[in-house]
Amino acid sequence: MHIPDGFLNTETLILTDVISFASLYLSVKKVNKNIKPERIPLMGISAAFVFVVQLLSFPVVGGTSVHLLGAVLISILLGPFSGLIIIASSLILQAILFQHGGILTLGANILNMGIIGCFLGFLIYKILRNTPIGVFIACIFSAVLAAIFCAIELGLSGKVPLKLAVVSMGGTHIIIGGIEGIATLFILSIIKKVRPDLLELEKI
Amino acid sequence: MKHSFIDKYSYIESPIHKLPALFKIIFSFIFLIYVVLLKEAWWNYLIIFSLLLFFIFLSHIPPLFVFKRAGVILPFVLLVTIFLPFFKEDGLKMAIITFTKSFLSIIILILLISTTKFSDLISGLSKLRVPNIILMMLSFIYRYFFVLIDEAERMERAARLRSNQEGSKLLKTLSNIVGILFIRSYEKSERIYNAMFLRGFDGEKNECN
Repeated sequence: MHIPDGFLNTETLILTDVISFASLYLSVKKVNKNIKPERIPLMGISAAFVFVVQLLSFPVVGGTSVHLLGAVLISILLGPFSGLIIIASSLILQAILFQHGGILTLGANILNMGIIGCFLGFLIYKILRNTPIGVFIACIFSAVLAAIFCAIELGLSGKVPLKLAVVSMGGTHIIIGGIEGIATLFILSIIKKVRPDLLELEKI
Repeated sequence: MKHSFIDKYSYIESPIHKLPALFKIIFSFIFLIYVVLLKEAWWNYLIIFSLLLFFIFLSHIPPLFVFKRAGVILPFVLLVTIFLPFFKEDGLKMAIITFTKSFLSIIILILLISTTKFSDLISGLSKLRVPNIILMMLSFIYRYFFVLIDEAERMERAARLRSNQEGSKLLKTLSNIVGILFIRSYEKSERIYNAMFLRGFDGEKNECN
């Protein structure tokens, strides 16, 4: 859920912007440290890839569809810090070009969809020792937590009833996260079948 | 390189198009902050709205285009604010205020992107010390996402022509398309790196227009 400008109050805006842009700054520092030049086009194309993946709609029961976030996927492929830079760039461009999400709310959107997916998702994946079940749980966890964070931010700004929003948004995102998890597993398995070396790229 | 259907008015000529990108970025940002944090009074919104209308007029962009694009926020605004009148006393008023703020901020952004070329926007952001790697990511997405969308659509069409799949099978097919798309993206990035390397790319410069 991309939060547009005008929905969050000043305190929430400042808090989320500080958290997100500090994390983004740290990631840039981390990635810039001894980066190989050929990694820049790779990250750039991967950012365009994530942008396209977020536009594809996946079917759910009953004719509805969802789109993937790709945060867990890209962090597993390229590493969490590169992942955050890629997801944040994709969100920034969506805000500038298509007005999906606002500019002052970028911090909130990067926190919900980038930091949680890339850092926490990747952490869960690592704790569960890179297993398929780890991928699945990381996807569900990051989707549900992203939805809950979004609900909390809107709730703190007095736009939705906090408890109701947390329960309903979190609940529906168990299914959305599950679909993202299954899709991510399929995606990783076909990459393993066709180009297994791409799963061994340097993870920063 | 230009993608005419996302920022198709950024190449026309007007007094506003001629202004330096850096100035427009800073001005839009200050304007945005003002709109989001301004005193909630109807005359305040009216002043901002007439100012924006004046800018739209100056920039020769069809007003209908701007308002159509601003309509993208409607579904989200409705979804969130529809419950407001039920759990708050002044819910209706808050819903209207939220809608107005979002609407005005989106018009500011549409004005910025419609009056500034993407390459100028990137060089303006680089003057504001936005890290080089972020600017490279933005340029890469802008340049290549049409290529990748075309590729994904071709694969999807091919899959649909071969069989009519439903449910979990379709999920697997779509996932395979995404997986192959990543592999092709990787191979593309190798070719792009070779081309950039031959033109003197060393990981630093981002001037490539």
